[in-house]
Amino acid sequence: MSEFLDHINVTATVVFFLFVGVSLYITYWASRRTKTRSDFYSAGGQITGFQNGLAISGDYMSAASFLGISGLVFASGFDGLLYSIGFLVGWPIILLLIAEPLRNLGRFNFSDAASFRFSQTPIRILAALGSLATVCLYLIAQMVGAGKLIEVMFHLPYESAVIGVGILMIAYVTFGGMLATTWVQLIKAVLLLGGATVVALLVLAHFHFNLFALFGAATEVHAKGEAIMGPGTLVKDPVSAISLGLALMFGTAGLPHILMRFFTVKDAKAANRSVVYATSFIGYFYILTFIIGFGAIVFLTGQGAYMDDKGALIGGNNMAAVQLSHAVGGDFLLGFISAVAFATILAVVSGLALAGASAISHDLYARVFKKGTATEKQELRVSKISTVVLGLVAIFLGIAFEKQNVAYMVGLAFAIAASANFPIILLSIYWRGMTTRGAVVGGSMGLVTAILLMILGKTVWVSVLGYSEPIFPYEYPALFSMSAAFFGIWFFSVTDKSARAKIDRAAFDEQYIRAQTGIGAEKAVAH
Amino acid sequence: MSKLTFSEIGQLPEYKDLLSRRRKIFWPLMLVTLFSYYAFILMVAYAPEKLHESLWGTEATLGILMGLGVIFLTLLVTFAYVWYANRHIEDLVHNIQEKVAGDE
Repeated sequence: MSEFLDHINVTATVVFFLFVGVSLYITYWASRRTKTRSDFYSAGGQITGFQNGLAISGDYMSAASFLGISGLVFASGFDGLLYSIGFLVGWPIILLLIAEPLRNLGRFNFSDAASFRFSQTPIRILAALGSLATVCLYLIAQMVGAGKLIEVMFHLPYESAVIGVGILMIAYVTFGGMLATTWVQLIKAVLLLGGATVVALLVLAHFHFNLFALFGAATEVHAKGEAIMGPGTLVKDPVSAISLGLALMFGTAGLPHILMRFFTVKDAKAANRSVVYATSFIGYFYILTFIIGFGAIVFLTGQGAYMDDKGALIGGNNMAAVQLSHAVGGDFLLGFISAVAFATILAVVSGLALAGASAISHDLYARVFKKGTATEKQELRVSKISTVVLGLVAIFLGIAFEKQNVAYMVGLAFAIAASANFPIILLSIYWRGMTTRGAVVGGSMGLVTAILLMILGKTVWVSVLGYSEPIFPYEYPALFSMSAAFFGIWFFSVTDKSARAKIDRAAFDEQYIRAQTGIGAEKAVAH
Repeated sequence: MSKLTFSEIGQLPEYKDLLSRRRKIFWPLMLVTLFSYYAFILMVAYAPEKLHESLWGTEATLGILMGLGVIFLTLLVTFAYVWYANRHIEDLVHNIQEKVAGDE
């Protein structure tokens, strides 16, 4: 191995322990202000639009997008841009279709809004399953990323890294709830945006801030040459291209941990402000990752210090951003960026755990099991127990899935969010004809189709299960699973002649007026 | 809660005005978003070689330009929506809420 990762980096250790120290102090501070359900799930609705926008961007700038996309650009140039654009274009969809109605109809999580006019039990169960499936897949991706990163950076065994992340996450969420989770996310977002800006500026400075010169240098050294400046091998056929596009664009609007953040602000107006801040930060961040990826091509390709004997990047392509920080900024920047990458994972898993816990305690326990009779105290206790359980599950899954492809897990999470959560949310808000039966059958069809096609596709059927030919020929299922969900909801709603269907449809007008005007919306403060 | 029932609120001229103003901004921005992104995706799917074409003889390509264009348009759409909501929607929403609350 080269000299560059041989010793434990002092900056990394100091920045990392500072972050953990500060975040634990915030958790202690937040724990004294977290007394009610509303505090725990939504920070009492006291977060400002700007803070929430930054926190949302923090949730979104996960290790998968920072390390994953810069690694993808490093490996194949333009194809990385394809992903980041897909992640970004979900935001106008959220802003134009979802943000305000969601805030106006719901209280703590998207199930509140999705189940507004329907029979509570079946919709809550389905929404909770959709949330938990998305959250668990996303958690696996983050946990595996964290383990790998710490293994490379701090020379700790993979298992202990995963266990450490799990324990810190449990501490933040159970004691500090949404308030602590939001502040941890805010600090990390500032650190990450700052760190990525410095790396990108250092890269650009080498080329006198001439982007063309950077592209020129990159195509000269990259093995694929000028091919990296256009679409490559990531998307092989039109169906896969459209399917991937759908999953990325509409998956964002079905991610429970992102949607949950809209309840931390005081009203619909603040909710749409947060989307604009979030979109700006995320757009800026993706432009940085693009520059960083190209910088990595120029500064790392063929450099013995960063490559192993076979000419591959040490630690894999996902380490491109981290290694580049060393190439342009030495040990200090390397330490800073790796500590921040780790902080990113901690912050994101906390948001995920909270969203998962709310699905268990607010949907399954309070609404389904207790039929709305649970006291505030009981629900709060169950949500804390759920957090601990989810933390343990995340540790277990993180260790069990060590060898799996992280980007694939995130892709699956997006496909499920786009195929199960998004159609239910969208149609419940905008389509009068939707009924409880349509929502439950159609939503389940989306969920099952997405999972089934993923299993029958190349990644699982061939790479994991070892069959020679995939049954489902495309890489991404969203085109088919979203169609199944929308068709299912439509068909099983229009053919629904039950008494419940009459109630569901009759309640639409009132729900629509509430969604549009915010009349009767949950007040931010529940004290 | 107010004396106005929801069906009465639904008949308020302010409410109808609100819906028509929302429609006015919703469709143009939605279409820009969908069109720009799927135009880009369909180019990737059906005409990848076109996206490899060099711009002005430099290393930059049409693909990079279109990609950055989509990012830029996305930001523009969110800014435009909030600018419009600020000027044409939020006061109206506030008025409706006042009117409903005022009748208590």
